[in-house]
Amino acid sequence: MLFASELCGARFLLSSLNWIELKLAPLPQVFNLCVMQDTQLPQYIAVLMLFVLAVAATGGMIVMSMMLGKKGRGSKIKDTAYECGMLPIGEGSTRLSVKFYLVAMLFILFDIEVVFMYPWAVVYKSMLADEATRNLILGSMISFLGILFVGYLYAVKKRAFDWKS
Amino acid sequence: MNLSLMSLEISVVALGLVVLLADLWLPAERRRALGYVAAAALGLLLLQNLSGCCSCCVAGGDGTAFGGMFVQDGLSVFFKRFFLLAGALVLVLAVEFSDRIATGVSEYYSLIIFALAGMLFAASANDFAMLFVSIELITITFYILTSFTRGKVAALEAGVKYLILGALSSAFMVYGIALVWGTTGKFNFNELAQVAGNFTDNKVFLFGVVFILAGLGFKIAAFPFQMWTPDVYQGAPTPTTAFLAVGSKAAGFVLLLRFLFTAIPSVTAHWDKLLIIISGITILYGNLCAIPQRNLKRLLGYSSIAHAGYLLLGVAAMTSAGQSAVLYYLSGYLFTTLAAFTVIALVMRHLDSEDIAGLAGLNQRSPLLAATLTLAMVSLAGIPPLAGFFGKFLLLKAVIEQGAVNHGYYCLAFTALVGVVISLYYYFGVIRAIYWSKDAASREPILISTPMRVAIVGCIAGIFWLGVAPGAVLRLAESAVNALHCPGLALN
Amino acid sequence: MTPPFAVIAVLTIAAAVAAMTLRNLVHSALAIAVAFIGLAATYLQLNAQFVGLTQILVYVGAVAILIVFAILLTRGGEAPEKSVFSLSWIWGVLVTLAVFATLVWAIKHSFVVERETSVTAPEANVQQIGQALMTRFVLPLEVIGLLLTAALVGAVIIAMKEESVKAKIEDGRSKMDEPANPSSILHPPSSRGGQR
Repeated sequence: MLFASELCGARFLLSSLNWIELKLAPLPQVFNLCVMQDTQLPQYIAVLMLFVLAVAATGGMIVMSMMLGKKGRGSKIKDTAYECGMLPIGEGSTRLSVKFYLVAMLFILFDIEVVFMYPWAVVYKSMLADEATRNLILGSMISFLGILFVGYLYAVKKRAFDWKS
Repeated sequence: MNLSLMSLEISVVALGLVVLLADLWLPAERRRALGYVAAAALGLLLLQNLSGCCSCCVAGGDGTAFGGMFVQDGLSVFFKRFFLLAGALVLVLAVEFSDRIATGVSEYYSLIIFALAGMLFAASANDFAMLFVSIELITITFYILTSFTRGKVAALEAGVKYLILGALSSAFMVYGIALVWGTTGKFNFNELAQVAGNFTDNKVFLFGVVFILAGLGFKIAAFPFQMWTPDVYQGAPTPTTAFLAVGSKAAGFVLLLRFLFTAIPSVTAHWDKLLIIISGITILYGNLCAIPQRNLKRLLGYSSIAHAGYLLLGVAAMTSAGQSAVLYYLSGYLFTTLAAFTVIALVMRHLDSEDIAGLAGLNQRSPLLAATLTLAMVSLAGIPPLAGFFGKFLLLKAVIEQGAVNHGYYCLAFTALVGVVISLYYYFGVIRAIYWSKDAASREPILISTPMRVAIVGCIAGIFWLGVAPGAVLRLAESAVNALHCPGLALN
Repeated sequence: MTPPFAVIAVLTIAAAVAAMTLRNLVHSALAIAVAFIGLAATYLQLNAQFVGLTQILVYVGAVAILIVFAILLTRGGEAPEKSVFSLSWIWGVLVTLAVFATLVWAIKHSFVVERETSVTAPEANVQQIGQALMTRFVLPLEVIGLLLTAALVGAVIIAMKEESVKAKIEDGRSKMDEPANPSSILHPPSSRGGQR
């Protein structure tokens, strides 16, 4: 039941997106003519519209539930956390494993690595075809990744990716 | 691509990676000795560099690679030998220190080698991209090395302080590079030198230069950017402090020399007053603040600020005599500082703090260490037969020679002399603690391992050699500095 | 100044100010994520696609997450009792204003606008960045690889448990300044860490 309604909502979203795309497709050109002669920003108008749509959908749901739904009576006791019938003691936050930090840190490092690989991948084909730059395009990325692979190996052997240790 | 020019850097990077990998498969109890292996490898590289370069490098081994970004000339060769020697000695010290590192001994070694690689790249950097990347490699490894004994609150505090101020100074430097690039469109130092003359009254360009100098000033701990020095020196593990004092400072100076005299000579020529003022204030600040210190590492931190001021004398003089004096002084500073920190690491191993009182009775416990620390202090103070004296003499001579041009140089020389007199007080306070204090905490003799003994004796020999027979190193320094003044020859 | 730029700029600055002044650290983290997005939009508006997308990928994607984790790991995000400003904020404001004023003055009084040095405003697409990165700037790229490896080692080292303490006690070397429980700073009580 719930699943079906969710599916329905998704289909509605998709179709409305489609409609926007169709109706507003000339919009970037219009924008281009009026205000932004020298920027590629209009390309991202779709991103902006998606963003607005997401905010509208989530905000709309909250507003709708507040308007349509029945308001229960809140009290201080009702808002407290349920802890097996005992009075909750201490703060709500518990200490987290340092693993979270490690995951975030490793994610950033490999993220940056990928950032450097992206322009490499873009020029890879053209530079590989050129006799003069063939060795360079291979050698540079192999040595770059080689250095990073040592770091990766280190992290693996030190069980940095191992959640259970 | 001229990869053979970079063989030294490639070997050092490979060494660092091998040490990192070796850690993964070596049993824990044999990791400690890995440091000796790494130090020996660096020593071999140094020997190979010395023997190879005496025959060929002076004449034809120079050149540039990667479109002038990486330059191999007299100056970079001089500093590369300097960094290799410093790296090898620091590794020996790190082995001695390794039992105080709770976890990750071989990571400590390999991070030292990575920092060394950054310094080698800095010695050859002839381009803003290389300058920034090599400085970041040095700084980021030092963030980790500083807070390596992470169970100690002092080390964590030092690491955080260094991280925040270092990131701030890096941000300033990147901003400065962006401004300079935005106005001139040049990244390469030699290309920038050709057009820098047109921009001497462009305020944005000058702002960029000032911001870059701020970033470099942080590395060498010159006056307005020196705040981090005492805390970081005190809190960091002793081998890190030693490498920070010697290697990081020297890397800052080689980049400063290249930036000021290769990239923007026409701007630097107008900035003698600024350099004079910074140098004078740095000397006075370091020496005056060192007086009340009781912690030996903190005292050496302030003393290192003062020495950055002395080194800036040679930069402010803006002559090749001054620049070669900087190189000479740095060589003396290498041996002296490493000797001092070695003794600290050995003597203070059983103490929680590095208070000067802990030196009491050192003369009975180990005459060799007592003599070494005394020599180091005497050399830092600049008493005649030792390295520090001759270096200071050369620096002052270079400054006074310029006095005819600008009378500010006389004031600067006078300030430096006042600084030397002040410094005598606190350096001799250390010596007094060694020989004339009664209440020794411990009487047991200090054991010194053989490699440590070799390193100490080498440092002492270096201090005496540079003080008594300065000819060889001075000639090397002079030929190294020539590379700064005729950069056109280095172009492909 | 085009209207989109004005909107983006106001949004970015407002988010940055909010990140600075909000009392709840989690709210600050959210505000700074918005500021990151605004910055990315600025880059895109300046036709710097690669930088803009990198900003989204690294800062919005990863750094914001790290900030949130850091808040969770340190003090659980409760709002501080005292004012968020340090006592010497007035000096900070003065220094900032001084730097800003001098920069504005410098830009007004220099001929950067005239473009006489033929700095053709480069429209850097990813292709050109790739070309430059693979030819001219290949050495800095390798050094950055080394830097990332060093940073990775550092990140692992900080989070690693003490492993060889037992071995060294058997070794009989001095343990004078070894901390009693060195890992307690970052590690939670061991039994809970794995399950959360």
